Amino acid sequence: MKLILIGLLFLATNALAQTNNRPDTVRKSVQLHEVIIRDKKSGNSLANKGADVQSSTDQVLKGIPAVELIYRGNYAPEPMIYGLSAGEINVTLDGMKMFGACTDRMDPISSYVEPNNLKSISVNEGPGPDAEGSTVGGGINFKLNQPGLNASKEISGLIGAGYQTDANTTQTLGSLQYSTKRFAILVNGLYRSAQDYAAGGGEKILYSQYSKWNGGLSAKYQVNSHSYLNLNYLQDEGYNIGFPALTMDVRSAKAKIGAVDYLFTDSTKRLYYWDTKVYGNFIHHIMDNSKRPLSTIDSMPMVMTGTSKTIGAYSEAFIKLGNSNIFRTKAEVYQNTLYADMTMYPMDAPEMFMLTLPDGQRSVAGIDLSDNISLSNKWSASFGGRAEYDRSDITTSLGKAQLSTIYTGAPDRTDLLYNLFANTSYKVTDKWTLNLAIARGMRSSTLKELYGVYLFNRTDNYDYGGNPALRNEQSENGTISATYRSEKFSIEAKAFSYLFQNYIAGEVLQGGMPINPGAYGVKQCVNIPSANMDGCELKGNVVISKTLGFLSVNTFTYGEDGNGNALPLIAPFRSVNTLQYSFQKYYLYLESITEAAQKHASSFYGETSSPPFSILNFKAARRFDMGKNQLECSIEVADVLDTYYYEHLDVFNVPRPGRDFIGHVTYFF
Amino acid sequence: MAILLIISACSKKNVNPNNANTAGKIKVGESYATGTGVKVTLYQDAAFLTGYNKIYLVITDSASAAIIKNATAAISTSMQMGMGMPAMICPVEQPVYNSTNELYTGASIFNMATGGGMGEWDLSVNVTNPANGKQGIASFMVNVNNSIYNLITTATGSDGQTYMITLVQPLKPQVGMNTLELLVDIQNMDMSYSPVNNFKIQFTPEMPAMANMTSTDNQNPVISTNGHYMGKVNFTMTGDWKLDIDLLNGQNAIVQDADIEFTF
Repeated sequence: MKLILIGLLFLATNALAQTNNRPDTVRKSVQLHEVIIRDKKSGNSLANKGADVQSSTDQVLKGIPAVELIYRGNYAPEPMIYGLSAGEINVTLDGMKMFGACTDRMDPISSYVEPNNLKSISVNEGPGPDAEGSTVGGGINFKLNQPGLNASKEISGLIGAGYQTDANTTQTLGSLQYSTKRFAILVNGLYRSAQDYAAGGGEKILYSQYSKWNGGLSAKYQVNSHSYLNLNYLQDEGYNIGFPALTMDVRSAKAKIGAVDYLFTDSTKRLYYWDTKVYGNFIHHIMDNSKRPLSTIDSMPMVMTGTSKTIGAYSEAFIKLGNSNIFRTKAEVYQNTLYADMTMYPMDAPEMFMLTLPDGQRSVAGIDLSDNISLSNKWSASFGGRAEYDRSDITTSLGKAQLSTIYTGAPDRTDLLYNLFANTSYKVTDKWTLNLAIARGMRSSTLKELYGVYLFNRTDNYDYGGNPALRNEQSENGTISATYRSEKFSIEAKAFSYLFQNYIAGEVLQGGMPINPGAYGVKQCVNIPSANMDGCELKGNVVISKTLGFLSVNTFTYGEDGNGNALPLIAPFRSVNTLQYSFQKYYLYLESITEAAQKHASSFYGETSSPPFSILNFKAARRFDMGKNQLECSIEVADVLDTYYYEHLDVFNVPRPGRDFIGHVTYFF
Repeated sequence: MAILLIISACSKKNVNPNNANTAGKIKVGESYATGTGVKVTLYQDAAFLTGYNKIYLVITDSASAAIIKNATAAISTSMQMGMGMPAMICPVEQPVYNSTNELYTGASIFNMATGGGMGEWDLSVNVTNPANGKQGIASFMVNVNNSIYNLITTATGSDGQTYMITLVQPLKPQVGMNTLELLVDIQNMDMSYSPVNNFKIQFTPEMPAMANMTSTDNQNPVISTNGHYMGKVNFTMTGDWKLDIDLLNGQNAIVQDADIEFTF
């Protein structure tokens, strides 16, 4: 299958220097999807579907069929790839490793970036060269926007404002680029705030408010004709973020992200792309229950802070071994340190303090090798692998003492991991293409799974204890697809099957006493010998006329562990059907989203079945040309019929926002 | 080699046969056991607190100041409780001579602080000089402060006897696994105490502020020596903890739900 390119927006008409684009290793892979947020060449911003530069990151992610989102409120939904999340997938920022600091999964990496920072988002299903690390489920890589050298305008940018009625959401954003022949700089900023939203029917969802700002700075300097020095800095700070699905809210969530890379690129050379990057990121996260009534928190005010520090470096090279044979290698090292603590303030007793992530640290060295080869004009293949060495430990005596409260053995461990993958694509006729992808995946347990101490999981209401003796989760992944494509009609049918060994899950610890208010008990992370997940996806695209198109995406996933329990957080059958109209400066779309009931849910994982729902979304946009500048206006109505609904993945069955009128005005100069 | 020589030189200097090694200890006072020709000097690790306290005695010849290595010394403690009241007596551990530091090391459990209108603890050393066979008492009036936790609990057993349970360790509890050392004494007819060695101890650490949440992997203390029982206690977090202690004699519960409570 080809890349799914959803051209969302152009920042300016200048073309980004082609040489700066990282080549995609498996362009022909069935498993790689990319959403372009800024297509600087097409200049067509109205071919967008549902999202634009003013959208939130999760709205853009929703446009990718393989991606689902776990909601805990109106902020920071957690992305999944076909039912796999957290440690089962990699979420990276321009190849940078980054790990959320919140012990309750309230700050996925995607919450620290905005489309305003991004050039594109790429998603690789399953292990593969673009999965950005050892994994069983794949990877999501957010690619940061880079300033363009030698742009047609020395100064260009955008300024925009948006308003949403349902939660009284306001946002303001801007972006400014200064470009000369050898030097360019791009700064961008965004502020967004929202009050409590109302679900379909009007019920106010308390503790769903938030505010955030985000700022980015990117600079590019051309060192010589084929070399560039790039600097990226990103800062994102959220405040007063309510999480209605949880028992606590976020007081602040702050991330600082920086990277410098040196890029060599020369399409005439065998080694035509070589990028070497040094990076670091720091997350500080504070949550508390200060806004909740005492009666709902067992009269136990508490504060949890967490930090995540990652430093790393990588060097990635693409080498032409022949006209149709490209070899890629990437060597990387990084180190991540996680710390989290919890302080409880009982009404009539001294405060209580403990570490919940006791200074866990992981150091990783990994190497990726892959090759992409066209065997004939009908047959192409890519294959490769990754080897990784992990060392995990607790770095402080205080941390070791804390872990000893739940685990008596030594905490340190080393792991050798490998991933292997092969994709092949065969063009049966001009219109028919067959794809096959197989992989052997392996992931190391996350530091939270190894060293977490009483981490509360709202999905099953248990406190989780880590287990430093966990075995690595492994998978055998297979995906097969057939695509038919003609001028008027295209259809793609895909089926996948993942078989897991040592699937990591929580098992009730007999006699364990929970700490978090409301928790039923204590679970410990254990390996379940096997689990499997199977799914299929059917996509159809009908070109009704030059201006009118119909797109249908249907996905179904089924997962079960070796004990017969339904795997958690698996979306039921889902069908998204979109009618799009695009003519010159006008763009309209009407979308329906339907989800079946999910009855395959297991109490072992704390899940209950969820009902079906169906909603309608509508959007209209128009572009105004004003000399060399443009104004783009859009009106969107989400949940047109004000349906009350929640998805199976929504934690604690908190309903989604109801009917929401969304207006965006963006001026490009 | 040069360094080794210096170290050995230093060591030699410190090992003075006429001087007990009292480095790091605090001198409480000295007292003569009248008529015996013996001087007793009392040392402590730190100011005495309610609870378990080690005591150190240097026993010397009052004329020559030479250390007496084979004296017989027995300690007892008492606090006068006022007119008509029996004096309070607490458990002690009798001093034993240690040839390494030339100190007689014992222990005293104080269950009440001095001052505030209360009396003083009288720590008496009944000493016999092996050189002349004479016996006498060297007496010290000592101050005892309240420790920040209540480390002692007294309970009447189902057998009608009075038992005293003292927390010896941990005195500075930390999150994680801590060595737990409990001392169990029984009160004799004469109000003195003797260690109990044949009990089985069961305990649960609990946090009263967390609906008596407990922790896992605790190890019940088992007898070590002289009424001292050694085990492990797991403190999940800082805060107010209560050790809920049962004493059993075989299958018979002698004491149930005795509490030692502290905050860290």
